[in-house]
Amino acid sequence: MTGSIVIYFSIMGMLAGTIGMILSKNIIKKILSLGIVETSINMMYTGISSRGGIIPPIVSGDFSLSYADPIPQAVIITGIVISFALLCLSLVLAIIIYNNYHTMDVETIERNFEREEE
Amino acid sequence: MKVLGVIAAIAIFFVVLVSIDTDKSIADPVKAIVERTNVPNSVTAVYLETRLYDTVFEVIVFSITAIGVATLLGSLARAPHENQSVFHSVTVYSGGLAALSITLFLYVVLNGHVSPGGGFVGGVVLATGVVTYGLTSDFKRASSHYDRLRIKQLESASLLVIFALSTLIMLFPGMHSRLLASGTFGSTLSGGLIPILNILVGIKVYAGAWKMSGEFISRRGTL
Amino acid sequence: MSFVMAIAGTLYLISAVIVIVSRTSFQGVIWFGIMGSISSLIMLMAGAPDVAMTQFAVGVALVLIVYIMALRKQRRVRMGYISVPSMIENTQSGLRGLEWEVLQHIDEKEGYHVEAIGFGTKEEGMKAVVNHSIDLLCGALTEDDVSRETKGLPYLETSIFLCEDEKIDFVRLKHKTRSATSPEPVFHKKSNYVLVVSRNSEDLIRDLLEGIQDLHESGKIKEIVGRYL
Repeated sequence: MTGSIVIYFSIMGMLAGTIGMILSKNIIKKILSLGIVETSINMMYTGISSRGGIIPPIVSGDFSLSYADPIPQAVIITGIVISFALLCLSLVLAIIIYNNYHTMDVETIERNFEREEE
Repeated sequence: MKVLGVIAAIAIFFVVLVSIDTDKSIADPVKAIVERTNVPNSVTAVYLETRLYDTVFEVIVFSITAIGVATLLGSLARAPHENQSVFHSVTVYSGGLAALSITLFLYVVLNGHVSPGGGFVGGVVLATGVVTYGLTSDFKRASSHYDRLRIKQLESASLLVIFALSTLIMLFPGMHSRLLASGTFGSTLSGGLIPILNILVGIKVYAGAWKMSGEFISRRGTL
Repeated sequence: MSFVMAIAGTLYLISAVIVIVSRTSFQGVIWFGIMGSISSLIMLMAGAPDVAMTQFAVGVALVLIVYIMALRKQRRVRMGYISVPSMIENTQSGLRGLEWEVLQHIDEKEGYHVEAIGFGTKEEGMKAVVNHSIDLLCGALTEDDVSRETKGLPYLETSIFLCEDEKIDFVRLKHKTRSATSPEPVFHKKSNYVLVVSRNSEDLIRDLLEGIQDLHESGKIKEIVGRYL
């Protein structure tokens, strides 16, 4: 029961993050919404892993309790560190764009790109 | 155009919501993994023995991203660091907190296969501690440890040793299972090559996270 | 247990919506940190302590530091100047002149840090503004020097004279007549002294216009003109 609740909430979080990415006009807000999507994905994997039980899978002799599933947890730990590295890279690109155009507005930057191509 | 995108997103997520599956990954996974590797923490056993491929490629992706960030940020100008304003009461605590985070790193990484923790957690905790010390107290002193302890060479060496050990484990699985079975269940010295891999992954994650955050602070100025 | 989980999930969704509709980026980053903490708490209650520790250390501590470092606008303006006596020139005690005083007043108000680069001719300076190697160009430029990709911000009125078939503005004419005798200048038209910036930098244009308006309203510009001319 708890597993399904966590999965539903995380899917709604993903929806909120995606809509935020489409509708926001500031580069920093777009990157923040991407972070919301990634956090929700991490939560969904732990929700999947908790369908067998909610006791942490660290065994001390007794094999008959209902432990959580360790495989999705191990997969998502590496994912969290990679998402931090990707966030750093996108912020560096946002800094370089700001240094050249002095604005964080997406439509202004697109207009400047088109004007430079002429 | 944006309205179409929003409608498409809502439609996709409704489809995902109604088609969720309710099965486990393998039948009774904890018992199978712990009996195979003789290590109490089954999450560490999964990402360091059963799915070693994922860890190796994650280390590669992390290294490439760290190189990319350092190169792109190297084209900006350095910020002046002479007037780092510090509250003096913070100086008393921050040195102690940095030392505490080093101890925590060693404990979490060395006991990664007995209690919750592991290489990834330890590396990130140590990076947080040292970066906070650099932001609030002396940044020059915090960034001088990078050259003094030769962390760059240590990072490259740990990458090579991770590759070597993983190839060894993948090519000779029989030797690895004999090493794993010869320790007592639940002590720190059990687990074959798993603690060594934990330490190396911890060093690699710490070095990458420190390089990225340190470059940000040195180009944009401290608080 | 599922009741507590439902409450935590609702709090998580509310924080996610507040991140998206927040007005400044700074508020959004703080609520992102709160959202990461709530998500780490949910993961702890669902039986995954390793993942919860990693999410907390990465998603709250390191991400917050990196975002705040990226959001601080570095107040640094690269200014190029063409040496014109009593407008802006390089002497032993640093830069002096009317335009330098005007820029100092504006920069003190906004908190900018100015780096000065000297140029030889007007064409080099204009090319550097278009290429984004400098942000601002000054040095007794008038409205005729503004081209299609740049924008001129007027700060002082002047008149342009015709002298030996060459269009000269007021300050250069004053120095020319002081050093050598020349035929009588003919009044041509009224114009303005401008500061030339690139058309793309909207934040800089807004700050400079505010500063110039402030100088005109408080009357300081007459004081500065009286000191130098």
